[in-house]
Amino acid sequence: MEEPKMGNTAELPTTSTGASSSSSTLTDNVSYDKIAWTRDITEPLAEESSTSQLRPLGTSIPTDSAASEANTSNTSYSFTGDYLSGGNKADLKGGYPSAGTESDSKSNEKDKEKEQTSDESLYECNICLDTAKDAVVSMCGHLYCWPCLHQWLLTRPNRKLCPVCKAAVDKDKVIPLYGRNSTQKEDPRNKVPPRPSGQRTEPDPVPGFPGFGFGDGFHMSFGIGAFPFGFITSSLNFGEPRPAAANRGTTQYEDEQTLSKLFLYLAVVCISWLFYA
Amino acid sequence: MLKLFKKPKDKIPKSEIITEPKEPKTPPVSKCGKPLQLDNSRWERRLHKELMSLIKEPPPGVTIDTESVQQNLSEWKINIKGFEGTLYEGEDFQLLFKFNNKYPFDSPEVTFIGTNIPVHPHVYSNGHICLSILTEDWSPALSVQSVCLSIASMLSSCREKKRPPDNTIYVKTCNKNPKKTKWWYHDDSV
Repeated sequence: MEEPKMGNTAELPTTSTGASSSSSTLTDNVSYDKIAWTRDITEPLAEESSTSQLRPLGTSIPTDSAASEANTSNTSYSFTGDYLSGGNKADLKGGYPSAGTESDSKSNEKDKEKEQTSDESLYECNICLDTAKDAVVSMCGHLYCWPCLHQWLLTRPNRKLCPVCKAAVDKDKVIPLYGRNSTQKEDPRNKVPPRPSGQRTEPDPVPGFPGFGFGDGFHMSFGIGAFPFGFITSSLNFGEPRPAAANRGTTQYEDEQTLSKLFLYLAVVCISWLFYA
Repeated sequence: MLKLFKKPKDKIPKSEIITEPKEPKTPPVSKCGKPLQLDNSRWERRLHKELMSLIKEPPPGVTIDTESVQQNLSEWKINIKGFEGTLYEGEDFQLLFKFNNKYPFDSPEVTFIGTNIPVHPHVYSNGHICLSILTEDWSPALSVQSVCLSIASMLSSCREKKRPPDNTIYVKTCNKNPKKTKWWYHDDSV
């Protein structure tokens, strides 16, 4: 667990983009050594050139060393992260002879370690038995690679069960796991099949009104009017939302009950009159 | 009691229907240009892993014929012993596992082979086994090891050595591949 941690800290400042952090360093340094930097500013602000030239400057000026050290290391690390994710390690080595080497070797070590320790890792996908990539976890707590689970769900579209415990499992019912540096590693949209996005549900509002006796699904209505039209208006309630039913036990509930009974009898009388007349 | 239905021949076997839509036609390419791991190498990788663990820590009474595996990774011969205290004590059986490239999403084809086929109400004399995890109850979380264990347990819990009641007619009419039989699983006692 030691090594991945180090890797994480190395790639930590990726939230700041490379360009912005390098430019901030630039302005810092310009105030100390304008002459040295005038030439460089006019040059195209390629990311490589700015970082590789910043590093020696920061070390040469002791007063600024702390700030610029931090900034330069920030930039180099964030580039490393981006470049690694793009898979262009060769570019990285060529581009940063001085700044990138430390972090590069670190992440190389990390990769090697990953390869070696994958066998005895606890975090194995239950399907491919490798360390889970694009990990998702089911509601029953079983870990899978998303591509593996997706393929299994496609295999039996009408019987979606957790391979381990046969609990119900579905695309909406799995939770993606994001490690600390997983978000910038790759765009999930480039993945086929895409991993389901994380869901965040709002907490339930404070309950103001507890449930109703009949629930919402049941209502009866009667109308009096011209025969066919009355039927239409009473049975198809367009548009208007129904008011909530009253609580069981309250006086309003009692009133409603007696009223509805009254109307029921009235309706029965009317219908029977229609038949017999 | 054990019965089964033969499927009409014109129908595509179930195992092929259900596995049809899962392979994308063009291999997806990730950002760095390498194909994503959805190809055939994955099932080989998993088989290798299972093989290693089976050689390292085999379940009791189970040995693997490593020579057969070296020749062909998709066909394993596994020897299984009748446990002590059961009807099959002292007997040796051989199982043949056949994997296709949809493994582990598709179940392996498992049959008894060789001269000694256990006399068991769920094992036909041609080696076919009536076991739900080999077809519809298969799950990719199962492994060769767990299948061996299930078969060993099935043998061990047998009370009476006899063939399935429809043995003769099934053996005459069945397909070579037991997965093309529509099995009817209804007896959990053995």
